[in-house]
Amino acid sequence: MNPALRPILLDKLLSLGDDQVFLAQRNGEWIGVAPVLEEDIAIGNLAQDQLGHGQLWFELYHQLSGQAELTADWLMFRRPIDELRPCQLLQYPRGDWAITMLRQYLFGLHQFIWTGAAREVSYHPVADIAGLIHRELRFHQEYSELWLGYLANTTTEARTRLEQALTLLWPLSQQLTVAVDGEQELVAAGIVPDLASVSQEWRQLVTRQCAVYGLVVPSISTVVGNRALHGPHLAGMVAEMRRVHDADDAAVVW
Amino acid sequence: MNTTGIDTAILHAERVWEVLKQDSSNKVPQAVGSVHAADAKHALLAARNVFVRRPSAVALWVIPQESLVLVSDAELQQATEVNAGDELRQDYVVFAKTSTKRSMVFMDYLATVASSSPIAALHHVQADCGRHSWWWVVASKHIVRGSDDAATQAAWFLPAQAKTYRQQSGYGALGRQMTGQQVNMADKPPRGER
Repeated sequence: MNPALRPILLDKLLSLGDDQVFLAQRNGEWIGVAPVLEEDIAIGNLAQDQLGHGQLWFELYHQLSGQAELTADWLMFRRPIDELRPCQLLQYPRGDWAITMLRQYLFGLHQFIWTGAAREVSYHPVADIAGLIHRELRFHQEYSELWLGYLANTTTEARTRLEQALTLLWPLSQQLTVAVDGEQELVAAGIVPDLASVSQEWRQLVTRQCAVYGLVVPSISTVVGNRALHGPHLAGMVAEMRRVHDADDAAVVW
Repeated sequence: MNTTGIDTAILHAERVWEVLKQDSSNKVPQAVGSVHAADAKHALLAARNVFVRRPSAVALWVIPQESLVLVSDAELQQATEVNAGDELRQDYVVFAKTSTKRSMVFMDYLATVASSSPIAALHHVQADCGRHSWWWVVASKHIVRGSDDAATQAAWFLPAQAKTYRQQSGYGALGRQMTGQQVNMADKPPRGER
């Protein structure tokens, strides 16, 4: 790889890893309190898978950074908050089951398309990780799409909650479509897929799926900020995620 | 109504599905437990989440609990076969209790036979396979089998093989601490997918 591209790829890897880990945190907030045991286990499974996916991206970051101290754990637990890059969709609080399943669906579908394309890039470290994640996301999508159908087509309350979730989350999800600075150079070098075409396919699929349920995807009128623009919930979320680590940051065994 | 957006009336309408898991292509499907689910697709997804996140599997079946008939050996010996006529002939799938592991009881797949009634199917299989203490019999049409296309297989079953902690015995750190032994960090399992 051209050394000039490395900092750009490192930025991209932070976005990829952060998205997975912050979604894992929000999904994980259901563990032990979900109303049905099977769904409690299911959402816990998704969260664990997402932690594993985040770890894969962070480990590649660690390797490419050439800095021994920038481990996956360091990136998660010690990175300054203003350097965190999760999409605002994944910062938004846990909410109800409609928010949880719609967020899972929207993010999961974007990742599914992105990793599907990333499997084909010529840069093997990215292609290999994308392949591992992609096959698992197929199962995640089957799960969230089933729930979208239940929420849309069972009770009035469930449908109302789904409609509210779509109004709320669709604008927040638009950060998924914002590239990191210089990302086109990575695309040209065959390191990552083109985010614009991934995102276009994503919008089309979401719009089509929503139309099946008679849901209207809201139009986006405002300019979408890049990932450096954090939402209001991030600081509290990070404090919670780091609470155990910060209680004894020298511990090696919990 | 509750705070989750899931209407409890739907949950109450959920059925119980027995889950059959096939560990590998040279093993028979085996009952591993049950899940609550609204329909067959939901039951298969729940079965995958609950029973095959880590263990090996190549196939999952789900069966609505009410469509299974549970018959003891004593009941089977006393049961009289009624010849219901060939027009009712259909495929029945027969399972029996063949093993117990720790506190768990497993019902193993034995055979699929065309019969005119569940009892006729059991008599038929018993003649071939011998007596067992408990039997299940179900019309084959009630069994819902997971998709066996390659993409589904890869998504549902392959990731388990890459998980770090595949067996409960892999969660050894706490046990080692409790027995007073020092935890050697070199013993930690290799990193990978969780």
